[in-house]
Amino acid sequence: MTKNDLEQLIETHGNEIYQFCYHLTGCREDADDLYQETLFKAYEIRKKIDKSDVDSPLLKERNYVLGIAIRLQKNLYRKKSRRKEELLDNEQFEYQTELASDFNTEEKVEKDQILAYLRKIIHSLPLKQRKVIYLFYFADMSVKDIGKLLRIPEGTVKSRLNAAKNALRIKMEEKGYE
Amino acid sequence: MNNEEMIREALKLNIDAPEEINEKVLRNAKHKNQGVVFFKVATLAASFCIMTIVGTGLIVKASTGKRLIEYLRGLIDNRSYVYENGTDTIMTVYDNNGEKWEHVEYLDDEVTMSHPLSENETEYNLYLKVTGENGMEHFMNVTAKVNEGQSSEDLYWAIRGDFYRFFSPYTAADEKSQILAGLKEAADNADKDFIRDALIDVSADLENNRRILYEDWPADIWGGEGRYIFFEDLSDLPVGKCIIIINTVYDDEDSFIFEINIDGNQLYVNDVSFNKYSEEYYQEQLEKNLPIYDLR
Repeated sequence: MTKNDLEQLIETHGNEIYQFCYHLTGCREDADDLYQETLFKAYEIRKKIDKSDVDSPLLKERNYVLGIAIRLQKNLYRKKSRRKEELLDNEQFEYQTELASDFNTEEKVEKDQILAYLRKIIHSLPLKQRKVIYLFYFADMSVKDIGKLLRIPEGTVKSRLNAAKNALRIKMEEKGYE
Repeated sequence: MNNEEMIREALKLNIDAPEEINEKVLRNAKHKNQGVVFFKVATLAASFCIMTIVGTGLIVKASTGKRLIEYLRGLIDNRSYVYENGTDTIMTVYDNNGEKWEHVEYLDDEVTMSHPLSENETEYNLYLKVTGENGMEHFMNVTAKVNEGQSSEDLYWAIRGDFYRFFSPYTAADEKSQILAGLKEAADNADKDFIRDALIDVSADLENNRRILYEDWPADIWGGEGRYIFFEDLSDLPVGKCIIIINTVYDDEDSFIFEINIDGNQLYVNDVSFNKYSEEYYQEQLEKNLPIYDLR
């Protein structure tokens, strides 16, 4: 990866990578740290992306960087493992009533509340399940690619996805959402 | 909207990467291109937890929860011990929202340390309590780990390197002697040869103040398999920046080029940038006009 590659990666996928870091950490402060460390590490390693592949090199590079973020986040997670509780930013995990306006229909408000709650319970899932949820639904990666990235069999990816979806369904139903 | 769409929708965030961070990263990348090493490998946080409190040392008999060993499984038998100069401890494994966590309580000190356990990794943990200057006590959890399916040799190098990286900053004579005593006690109790060997070897490295370069990286980053482990005794090299060419600990063929900065005060060399050996990359290094040592 050259400096130009890095610049292009940030321009095209920087926000996605940052949001991925945010999902992993749950707060801005940690996401800032993880995002920065991830990009530093990606640049330091300077992996040469195989340009002959079907996927665009930049997309492959993005996936590769997400893999670095996951590895580095594990360190962060361990470092903070003795926190009594993990604090989540209200910014993304609570519905912001002050953002609601007359233009928001009742239906839209309800939908936003449901999505904020869903985001919150996704974050409460075990890290192993969360990782596959983020990679599959947020990063749009295939089961096969997730398996390669996390170095686990495809079957394990699928079972974690199913377990996560079941857990989410139960929690949503408990809250009265269908 | 079906469930799948709901999840996708929920994961969409309306936040952007901070511009100042992007600028900082690109600025540093530019400096790096100019040969300035900016990246400090932040791996110290990777494999340990450390907590420091003020208290008094207590000498009581140690106890270890046997359930732990029953729980932990892997290709290599996992082991977790507590060596704490005699403080009474209890170790448990508990379920934390679907994940297994290991918990160590230093009963008399009312200190608890815990960390998540992975079913796909084999870990060797060593808990130590060391009394430092002015009665300050350091509660340490040092962890070396390998992925499932990796060999005992991998774990040997992970223990030797990660433990060295962790302990080398403790240079005060009294603290160091307690650490060496803890490592020796752990080695005497080890029921696996490679664990005992690793603990003895890392003790010798520490005792002899060797200057060590250690790196442990997933091999797939360079299109390989497994992991690349580098371990090099650099005690004989002069202080300052230089380029070294070394092999991995397993393989005489796999060569890497490291740019390092040897600080006379540090035993663990951690200001590095490196890449797989290629003629092109070697030529880039030549242009830096730094001394080059071929240590293969």
